[in-house]
Amino acid sequence: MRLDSLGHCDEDMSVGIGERRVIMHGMTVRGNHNKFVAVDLGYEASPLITAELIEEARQIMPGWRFQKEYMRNWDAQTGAPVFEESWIAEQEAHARNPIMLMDLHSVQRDGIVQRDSLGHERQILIQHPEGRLKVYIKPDTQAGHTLTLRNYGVGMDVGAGVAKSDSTILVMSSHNREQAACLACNTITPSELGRFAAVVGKWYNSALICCVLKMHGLTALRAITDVGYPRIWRKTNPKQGQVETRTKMLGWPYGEVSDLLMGRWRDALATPGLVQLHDLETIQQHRQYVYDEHGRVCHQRHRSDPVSIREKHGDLVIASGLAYRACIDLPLYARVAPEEAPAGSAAGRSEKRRKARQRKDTGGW
Amino acid sequence: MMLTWLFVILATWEGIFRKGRLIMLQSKREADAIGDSNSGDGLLGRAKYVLNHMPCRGALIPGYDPAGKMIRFKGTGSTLQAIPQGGDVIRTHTVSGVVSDEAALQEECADAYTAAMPCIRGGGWYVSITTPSYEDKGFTRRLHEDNLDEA
Repeated sequence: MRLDSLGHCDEDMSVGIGERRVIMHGMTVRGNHNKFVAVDLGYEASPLITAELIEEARQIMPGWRFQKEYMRNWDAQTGAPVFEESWIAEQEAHARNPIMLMDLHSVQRDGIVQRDSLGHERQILIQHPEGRLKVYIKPDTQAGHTLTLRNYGVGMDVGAGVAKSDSTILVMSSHNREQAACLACNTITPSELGRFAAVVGKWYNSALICCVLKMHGLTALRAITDVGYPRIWRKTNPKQGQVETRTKMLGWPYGEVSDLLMGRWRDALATPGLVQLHDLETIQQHRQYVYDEHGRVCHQRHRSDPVSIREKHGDLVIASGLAYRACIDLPLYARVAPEEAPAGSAAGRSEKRRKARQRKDTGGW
Repeated sequence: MMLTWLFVILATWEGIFRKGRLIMLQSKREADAIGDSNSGDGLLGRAKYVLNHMPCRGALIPGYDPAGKMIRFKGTGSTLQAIPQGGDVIRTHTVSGVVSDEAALQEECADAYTAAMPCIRGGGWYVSITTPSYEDKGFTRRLHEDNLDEA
């Protein structure tokens, strides 16, 4: 097949199986063994697309995106970083040391560890020099109003706790999408992580916890619900009047590197000034995500591993994406709840009697 | 490159001048396949746009019924139908031709190709237009590069 000076082809329109012909600059035809004719058509074949237009497109779409869109390069994105260096550099400007380190402490009274109705230890967060939770913003930071506090979203990625992959918690303020705290530990068990997240969530003005559901996430979610923590992210709205829900209905049910999660988080980071990360480890971990040869997002350590192995990887990037997802579903500010009377005071005893009466009236015992 | 326009026009031509053809215009979502005839958007929308703006259409086209998801040509009895991605929608029918737009972006592209195979063998045609992507797990690339055996 040949084209004449007017662009018309002659009578020889057939292409043999396995034959490859260059028709013109930017247009190649190949006869495949499955009897399909594959035409590789590039912008070079179009007289309307000038070199200036191409150069303009190259400026607008730097890197692999131009290669893929205009140069028909299927593998252009292979090994390319998911989070561009300029976005990470912007976040590095916000990096700082934590204002304090905190960890869980079991509540004791007269030397006896206090337990809840399920037998779990009652725990609170205390400042500790080797604490696992790095705090960058305290939850009681006022949001500029006297009657409102910031709302927070908590993202959780759960590992097995066998020193292979990190289990992570990341707290983000919904007010300005600013990182408030983070934890990354590869020896904490999923149940312990769930209880840790419940305590952190309670401390951060009853933050909305968004936890992965897959694999060990279910165990962590079960631990959160066991301690009675109510604010857990779920995909669907609960039915009116429903007081109990299955644990498997809670949490993030989709993939950790799906477009719904990682895509949104990538878009958020790409928008200047939308999010602020303070933890340098969190920021550095963003450099480790690349595209594989199929264009899927993966951690560079697991690039050659099967998808099932990739899904076991956990880090602060996933937790950041989940925290951001939780923040999207939150109002910016929370109204300050009236403080409870101290236990043992007259007001406290009166309140306790009132609640007991209320329980008796509703419970019917 | 306006290849989608070109193949929609060719499909429309076949519907106007060939008898009893059922041509599927497939895109990722049904809304993308249906499009809008006023702005020439989508696949079926492009076909309707062409028909509406043809200079001497009264002489060329005996008449057509632009129903929601399809165009029926009264003279030839041919139909252009907009369908979403997937094989089920093709499998039910005996199609004469399939135009699959942005095929590599359709996760179920391989299913659609498999479903269309009996019709292709029976004399039908299958046009797959795409920009490089791996949404379909590399099927369109293998089809393009003649490596389907690797799947």
